[in-house]
Amino acid sequence: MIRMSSSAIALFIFVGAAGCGIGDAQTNLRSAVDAKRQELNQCYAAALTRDRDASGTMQAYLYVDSEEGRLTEVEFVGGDVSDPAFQSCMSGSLTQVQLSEPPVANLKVEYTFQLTPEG
Amino acid sequence: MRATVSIVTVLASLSMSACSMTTAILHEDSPVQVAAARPAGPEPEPPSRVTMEAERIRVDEKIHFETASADISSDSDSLLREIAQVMNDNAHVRKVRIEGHTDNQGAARYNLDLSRRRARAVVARLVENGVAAERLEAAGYGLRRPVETNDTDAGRAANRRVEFNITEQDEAAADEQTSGGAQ
Repeated sequence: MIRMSSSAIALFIFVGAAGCGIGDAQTNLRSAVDAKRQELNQCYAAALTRDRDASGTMQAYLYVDSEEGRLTEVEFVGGDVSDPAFQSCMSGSLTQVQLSEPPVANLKVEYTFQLTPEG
Repeated sequence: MRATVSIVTVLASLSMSACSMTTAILHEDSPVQVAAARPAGPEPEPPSRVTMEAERIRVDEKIHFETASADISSDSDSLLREIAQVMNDNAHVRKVRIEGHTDNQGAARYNLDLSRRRARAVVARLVENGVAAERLEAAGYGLRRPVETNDTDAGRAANRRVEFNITEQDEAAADEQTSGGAQ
């Protein structure tokens, strides 16, 4: 019998996904998120006025709709900062993200945001 | 051989299914860097200008009066509030004598009167700021009790002063306050 590990199967799926444009969509999404950095920084600046020690990481799932190519939802799933107003500000900014091309499938992408105070 | 073909077929269909899956779950490896300037912290408390000592209230800033007048300058308002606060924080001090002193410029009688009026003005202001009137008394000594020479500007400035000397207090409470490091 030939044994096949789960990671190898995942690799095949990933290769298949990459082959049909999912990888491009992920790259597009990252570019679009990076373009929102200034707004995200402003959200963070406001969070620091509420808690000047707010820092660390935040994990979130970003959901992208395949029909419109739009980021429709941000689901925060963990991290060091639990400020609801900050999360709302981040969501408000990110859900304006529009990909240049709709992906071939809906996307659920796990992101980590590294929050670093300056000064 | 047949098994190998089957596995390849399964994997191929898995790969193909990736294109038609409803939702692709992915992970972005590189964190998004979010940064902002930390806001300035609260202003540090200014150092205390008023200290309760065993026999006096030490005031490290001069009370300013209008020239040749018993009118307290507005720039001393906060200092007088601070003195009142320290008195009210130290209830064991039952009575304080507010003493006015002058330099030797001008007539002795005039200076004596001015020093008395200034002492009374300070008492009145402390009462306005919440200190019980019965804990205060005013005295003026004019030019009779200099602490420095009157031959220099600096010496004369030092002689123009208001002192806060404790005349009655609860000694036991005072000892406790002193050992506890009260202001």
